[in-house]
Amino acid sequence: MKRCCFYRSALIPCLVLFSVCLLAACKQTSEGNPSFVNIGEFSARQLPDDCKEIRDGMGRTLVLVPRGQKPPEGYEKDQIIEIPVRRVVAYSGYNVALLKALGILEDVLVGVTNKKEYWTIEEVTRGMENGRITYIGESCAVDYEKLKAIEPDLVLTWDAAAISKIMELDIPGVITTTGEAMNLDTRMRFTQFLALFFNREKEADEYVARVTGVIREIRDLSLDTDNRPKVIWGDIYEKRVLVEPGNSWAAEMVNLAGGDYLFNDVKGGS
Amino acid sequence: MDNIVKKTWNALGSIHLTIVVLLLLVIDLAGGYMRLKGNETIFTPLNDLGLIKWINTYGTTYPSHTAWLFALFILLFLLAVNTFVCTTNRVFVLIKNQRHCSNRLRFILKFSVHIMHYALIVILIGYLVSYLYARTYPNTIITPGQIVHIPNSDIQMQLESYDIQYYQGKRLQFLNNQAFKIQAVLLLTAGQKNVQKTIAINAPFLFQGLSFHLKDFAPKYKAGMKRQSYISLIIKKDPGMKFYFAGTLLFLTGLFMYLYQWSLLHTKKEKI
Repeated sequence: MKRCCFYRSALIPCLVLFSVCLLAACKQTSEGNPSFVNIGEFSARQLPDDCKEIRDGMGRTLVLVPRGQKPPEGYEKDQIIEIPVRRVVAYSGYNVALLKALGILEDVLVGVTNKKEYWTIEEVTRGMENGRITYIGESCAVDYEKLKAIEPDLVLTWDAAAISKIMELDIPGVITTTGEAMNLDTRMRFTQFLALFFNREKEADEYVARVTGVIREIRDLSLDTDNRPKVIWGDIYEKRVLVEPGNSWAAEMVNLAGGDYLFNDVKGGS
Repeated sequence: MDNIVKKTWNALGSIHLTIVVLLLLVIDLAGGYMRLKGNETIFTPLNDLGLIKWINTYGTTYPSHTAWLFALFILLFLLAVNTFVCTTNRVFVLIKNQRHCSNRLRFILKFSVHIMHYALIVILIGYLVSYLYARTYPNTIITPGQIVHIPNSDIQMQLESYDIQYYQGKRLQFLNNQAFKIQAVLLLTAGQKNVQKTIAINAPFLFQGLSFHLKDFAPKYKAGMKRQSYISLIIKKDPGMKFYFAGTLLFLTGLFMYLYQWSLLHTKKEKI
């Protein structure tokens, strides 16, 4: 009897405690700690003297230091990025589009890995015409001498192989893609991560609020659920088609727009 | 005062506590499984950030997702203390009753189970040391021919060669042209010392107290999007590793002693 009472008195409060933990909010949202922001696999932590420790898409730790200021102790030279970044090279069209959203494309973009014919962003084609933006070669065959010559402060790339070569040139590089596909929330809020390099946090917040509003409007539309076209989203390569998985922003967009994404059950990278 | 210490000691070594802690561990881990699913990005950085930094960032930012892990630490601590006290009590009793055992070998073999319990505590301490003091470089990227310096050391490494094998069979056509095996040869230099090491997936190596693990590589497909060749390494200095090895060795010692004791008893029964 005594033993039974012992178990009961010990277990009940513990079970209540654990149930509270288990039943807590299911959504991954930043709940406290204002000095730390986490956006998917990216993150930023506030350090003293307005410095920030960031984690890029590959999990590399870098430190953003205001120009002219002494970097914090304990970091290697190649981990330091001076902000605001004034000259940037971007591999991905998505990153270029976000620079436009932040209102700094014409001020900071100096290099891309696609020829002029590829671009539909007017500021980029104009910049390439007047020589302000340089084509540094395709992403798989970058001309590193050209890259060095345009003296960027930062290279935004998805290519891990490029990082070590860029570091050899003493240019900081950031991986802007992640192992797991980005969901819609991460894809949007990545703008806030990118804004940290250019001191454009306010503009990024406004942009995210605006896009979130539009997505909410689409979500609120009562779409015809009986007629959901089946959709896949991917890139066609030689002998291979790479599709976006169900956990990607692309799949979320298709579903939001009333489509039936065929790979909803597949999880993985982009 | 002595009475309080004795009571606390006995309570910590109680079998009741063991049962409660084990039940709570099951509930906690079940909850942890549910919290972890879909939120892996919160927990992945724990591997390279270290426990304290992780608690100060991800741990405190997402308390509803990470509470189970904090509870797990508390429960594992309780389990380790409970195991230590309980085992020590039994070891003392055994030593006290030494005179009743005429055979010295049999007496030593009686410690086998207790050695295994102590070994588990050593392994748990090893994990704690790892999470607290390991230094990890999670993404060291190196391209063919390139020389890379490893931070906070005098080690330089060069990717001498690498060999990726792609599947070319007929049975699993969807895997055609997909990499299934990679082997890379690295030349490591520390001062005057030059060593050549081979690395592959699940085949790490140790050099100057650092462990090298192959994390990623490219190109993974023979056809499709053109990618530059590289390998990505996790380089780790982990003082907890010595504890795992010591704990595992201790556990094996206990296990062999237990099996030997069992075989002695078995032979004795057969003779009877």
